[in-house]
Amino acid sequence: MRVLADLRCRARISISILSVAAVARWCILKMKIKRARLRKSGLKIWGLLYFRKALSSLAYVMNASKKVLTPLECPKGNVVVVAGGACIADLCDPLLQHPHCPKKEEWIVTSIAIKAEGLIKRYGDIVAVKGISFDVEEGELFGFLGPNGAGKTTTIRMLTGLSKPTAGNVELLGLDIKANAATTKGFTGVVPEASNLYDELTALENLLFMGKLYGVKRGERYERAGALLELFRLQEKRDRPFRTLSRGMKRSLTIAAALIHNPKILFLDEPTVGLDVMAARSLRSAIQKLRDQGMTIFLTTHYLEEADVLCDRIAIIVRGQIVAVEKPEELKKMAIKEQAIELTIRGSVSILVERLAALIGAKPIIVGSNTLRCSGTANSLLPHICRAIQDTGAEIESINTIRPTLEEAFVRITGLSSTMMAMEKGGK
Amino acid sequence: MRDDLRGIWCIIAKDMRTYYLKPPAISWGIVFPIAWVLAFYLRNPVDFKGLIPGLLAMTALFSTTAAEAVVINFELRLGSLERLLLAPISIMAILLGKILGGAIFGLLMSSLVAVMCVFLLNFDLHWISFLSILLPALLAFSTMGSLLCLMVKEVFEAQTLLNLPRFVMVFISGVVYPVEAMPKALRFLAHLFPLTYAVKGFQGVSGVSQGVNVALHAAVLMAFALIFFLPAANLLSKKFE
Repeated sequence: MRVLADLRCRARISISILSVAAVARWCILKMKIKRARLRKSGLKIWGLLYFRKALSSLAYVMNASKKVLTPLECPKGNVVVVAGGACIADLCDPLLQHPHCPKKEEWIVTSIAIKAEGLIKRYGDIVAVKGISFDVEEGELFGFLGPNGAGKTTTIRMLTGLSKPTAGNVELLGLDIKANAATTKGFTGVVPEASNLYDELTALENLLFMGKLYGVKRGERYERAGALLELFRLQEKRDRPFRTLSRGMKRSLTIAAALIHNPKILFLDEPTVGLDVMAARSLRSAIQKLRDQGMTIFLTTHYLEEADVLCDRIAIIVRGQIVAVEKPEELKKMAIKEQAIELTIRGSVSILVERLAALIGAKPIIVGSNTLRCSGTANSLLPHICRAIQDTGAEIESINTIRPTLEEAFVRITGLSSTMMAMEKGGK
Repeated sequence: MRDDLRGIWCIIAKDMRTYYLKPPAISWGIVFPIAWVLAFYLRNPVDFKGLIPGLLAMTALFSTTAAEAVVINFELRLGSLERLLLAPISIMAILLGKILGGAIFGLLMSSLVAVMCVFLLNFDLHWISFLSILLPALLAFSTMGSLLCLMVKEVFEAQTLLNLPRFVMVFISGVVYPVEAMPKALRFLAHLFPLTYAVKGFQGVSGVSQGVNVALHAAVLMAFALIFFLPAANLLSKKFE
């Protein structure tokens, strides 16, 4: 009996494996299936997809609120089952009862907040974005780094539904943005490159207007507007017209307006461009707070330090193509294999250079009258260097490990000069 | 649908507050038609009541289109219109919000002028019949204004383009000179503009002209609104492609 059941199960898998993803997606896109029916189809999906080996294709099941979709995947890569919030609890037991189900402790719950697949944007003969694909996980602060004209704003416009891609798809929390435009707009907040709130309205009125536009209830609207003004330190300016605010304040208020409906995903297009140091720092701190609260943030920037400090992962885009997607630390490691050690010596460093050059792997360079730099792996070099210095009778004043910067990594990966990144729009 | 209705209402309320109920819009919408007609009144005070339907139609035309260049082109330029598109409302709802904003302002201004004519000049007006022409006329003028504004980029370009049909209509649509008395070519041209049907409709409801089919004129004005709306929606969509 058990063999028969297993055979029946395998037969069902092989017949339906190709159609399940499409069926599941159809279920979501149409958004018409009642939860009871969906749960039923969800059970089927679990049973069928359970044996999938490829991780490339995901199926989705809606949660009770019909909005958030949470992919659930097996760490071993032989199970790709995706279910949404409330459905996970409903479907856990049937799945766990299956003879081949891995233990629940082995599951990893990941959720893709933004999924871009093969995005292309053409403007006549010009291809601004050339088939880019990437995923952003929920709660992640994802940086989109590139020089001006690389395609950052075009990408953000396609991700937010402002511009139609020539080809490719965008999914936000598992929903295709073309088929679910109103729903996806409801849970995303967008801060465009320009602070484009209404000049005539006061800071508070602008926030209330945006809240009303997004359907935030009256009481909640006032409450959230007050909280956001406080978060961005704008309480004192609440009754001042937008046009009278400083550039930094306008930027802060524009971000606050994008947050009035408590979005799940926030898109920030060059948030600190044109701001003075203090205003930019204050804004970065507010962005960090939002990330700490669990908000998914997609940030485009051409400031390397900003991306380095803020982002969990960074995609580097150059001439419409993504050339790397990694954590900032990994990007640095990818680009620069060797570290460097900088030594400040009491006395002359010239005698030391010859001795250190003889050490395997050490490439000493004099960078000052009593400072020299040795490149190599710090752990292996340091004892040799210390011994060599002791032998000459010199005294070490300080030792610093020089770590690669994101700027160096960017230059190595893209082949572009970092000065290109420092340029403001218009080449300033 | 609920999101769209809420969006339309928000846009109307905001546009009223930020653009329409401001001195430039009010002066252009109401002072200009009054000044225009007063000039004719001073020339021929005896037959002034015959000019009131034209005055009402002109007020409707100039007030609905008074701030549309700002409401549409200025916001397009600033990116504020794009911000509206980021909200969960459709592009159609945004356009409708803009159109209805102009139409409501036109309704306020035209009603004010109508009240003044009734009470100060003892002008005979049947209010329900008056509204049956005024409302479709406002929609036709407002959609026409939106369409013209969406055809260009800059505010000044939109103002210039709007003035072209507005002034042509003032001369050939029967505001001051009856269409029937015009040469055949101009008569034909007059019937291509919505103001002609609005003037004729107002003449019908106020008894200035006899035998006017008010319902037909209202239907033609609604048809104008629809004809202008479709390309306007298309143009607005293209702005964000």
